[in-house]
Amino acid sequence: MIGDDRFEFPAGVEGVLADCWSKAAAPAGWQLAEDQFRAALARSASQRFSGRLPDKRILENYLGSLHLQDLALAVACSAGNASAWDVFVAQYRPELYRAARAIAGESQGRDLADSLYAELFGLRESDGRRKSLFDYFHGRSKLGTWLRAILAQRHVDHLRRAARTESMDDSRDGDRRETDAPNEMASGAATPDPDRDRFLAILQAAVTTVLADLDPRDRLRLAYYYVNELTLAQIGELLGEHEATVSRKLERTRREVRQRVEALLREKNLSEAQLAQCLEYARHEWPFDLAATLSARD
Amino acid sequence: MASNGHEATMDSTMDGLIRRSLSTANVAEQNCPDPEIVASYYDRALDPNERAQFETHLSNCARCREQLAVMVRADEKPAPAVPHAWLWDWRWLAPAVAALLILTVWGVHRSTSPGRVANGKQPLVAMSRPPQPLPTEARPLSQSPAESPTSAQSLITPKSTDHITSQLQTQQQAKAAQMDHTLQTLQAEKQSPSLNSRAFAGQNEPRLAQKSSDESNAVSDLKKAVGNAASAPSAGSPPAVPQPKAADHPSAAPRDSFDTSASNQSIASTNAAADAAGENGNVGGALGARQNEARLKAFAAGALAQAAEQRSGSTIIPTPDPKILWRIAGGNFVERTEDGGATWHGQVADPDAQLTAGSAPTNKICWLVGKAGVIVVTKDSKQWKKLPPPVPADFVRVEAKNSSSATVTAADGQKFSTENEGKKWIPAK
Repeated sequence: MIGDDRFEFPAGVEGVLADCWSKAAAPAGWQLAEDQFRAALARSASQRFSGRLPDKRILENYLGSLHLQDLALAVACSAGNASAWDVFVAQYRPELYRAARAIAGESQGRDLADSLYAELFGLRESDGRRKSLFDYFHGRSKLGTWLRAILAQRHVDHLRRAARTESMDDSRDGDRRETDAPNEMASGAATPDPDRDRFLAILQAAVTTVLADLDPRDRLRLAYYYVNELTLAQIGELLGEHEATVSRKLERTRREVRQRVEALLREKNLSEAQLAQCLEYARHEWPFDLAATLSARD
Repeated sequence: MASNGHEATMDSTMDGLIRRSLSTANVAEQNCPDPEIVASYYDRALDPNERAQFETHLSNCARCREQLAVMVRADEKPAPAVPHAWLWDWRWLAPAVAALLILTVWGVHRSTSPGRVANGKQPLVAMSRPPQPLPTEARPLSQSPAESPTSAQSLITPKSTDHITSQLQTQQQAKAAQMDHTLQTLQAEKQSPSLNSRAFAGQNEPRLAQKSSDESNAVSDLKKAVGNAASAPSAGSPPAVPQPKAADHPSAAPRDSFDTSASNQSIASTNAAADAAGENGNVGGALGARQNEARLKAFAAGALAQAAEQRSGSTIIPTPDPKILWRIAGGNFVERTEDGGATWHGQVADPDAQLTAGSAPTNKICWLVGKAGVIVVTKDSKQWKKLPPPVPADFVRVEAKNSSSATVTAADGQKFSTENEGKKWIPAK
């Protein structure tokens, strides 16, 4: 969504809008009119509040939180102003290419950055008007972070498409993949214990239920750690927590998950021996060495 | 122990189950927010409700989580590589530093104790007492390079010390004559101040004392530079011989005899010291000597400009000649000196200008910039021409190559270059 520049600012925010224009400090060379900038603010507010008019104080706080200079630069670049482009090239192009290389490696990173750069410049046309990716920037984040988010999204989508293609090829060969849904986890080979599949299914369902019931932030922390294999410091960076806090909360959540899974299994009338057998089957079926994963990550 | 092993196994099993479950739990991808939300979350710009909503989505969406994981990994700055790290390897650095110290101390010791140096057999040992202060009275001509130790002489190529001595003497005599002339000019100025000059000698007198102490500081800075140049051999030449300092050299004697309250004399003596040091800094290599001389002259020009600027509180613009300086004295007024700041001649470059900076690529060419798009240039240090600006901005810096080519910098960081006196400007990086 680009946002609607027909969003009408309520009366009484004129001072805030003038203040925003002043803080944007667009140089004269960018030839950015105040009306143009106000239209960008309107689009941003419309995007944020889904077109609904918020309380005046909330609107003022929102406008005051925007990265106004970045927004002014984006609007001027979207309009094709050469001076603004010079500033963007000088300030952001090196960062864009550095981030792309860090995300996707040297050669792929360059392609990723080139493609994004072209879209920012606006090689597509719609209704006779050049469309720039800058139209989608509304100043809520820093311009640099927004660019990196786009690069990350494109890179991840590319990898996921490649992984899906690969998995389709692999499935033709009959390989079983770890990401199979639980009800497809049964292997083709015959197992001696007829309860094995039933136990594994019960166990997996219990784990899924317990994880779904967790506080989203706890679940997110587990996912960052176990699935994305981020370090404690990186998780802390994303969640705004200290590394020690991340460690402590992970340990607490892990212990809680285990206790609740065991409790659920007992509720299904599994004995202690059967419970232990469940976990033993899981250990053989889905071996996972956390220590090895951590050392590989480091 | 067995129970611990069992517990560890159970924990490991649970880790695997958690990982597997979270890997497969995914919401439909069309619910993913746009990159601006992801970026705002990353920048902690979402309000608490938005953040909570997004984290709920994140906990169930592998795609968005992976985006953030990619971003945080890419943002991790690697430890900065130490440039030329091999230089800081103490295995060779420590002995090299020790050798350098020994050589320096030996050089100071030899230069301050000519009698002991004369036999050339003094072993190189670090002295426990501090180096002797430089003598202030002139030394007779008989003392100096002729008394250089034979061990040092053996390293002197290609010039002989006699040749150096005679060259320095000639140079010093020329400088002394120049100093005399300047002193006479100064005295004449005192008696009959010029109507065109704002720098009446009478007004200058309180400032001369300040100037002399500023320039004494510049001289002492130069001495340090000379010492560094003397102890650092240049590439492609034999090791520099620790020569007697310029102050000890008989050719430097006239400098010491002048009163430091005569500012031009101290400037001239600075030049003499720079020139002498440029010669003495690297006896063995002509190229190295020229490089040292150029470095020291540039340093002298900068040091003098800095001293003048500090003194006057205005913007000083140096030229290739350290004695010729421009000065933005405020508003639209600019001044020029040809005698290192003793006297200044003022001009109005542009009546409407608020000048801020300048650049003088030659002794007569000067570019000035200022607020509201002011750009003016003179080719003969007298007539000023106003040039059309690239943008009507406040300019804060100019770098000029000649009378036609320069790069100006606006207050917002934009840079523009011209090769044809401002007829056409192109953005510069």
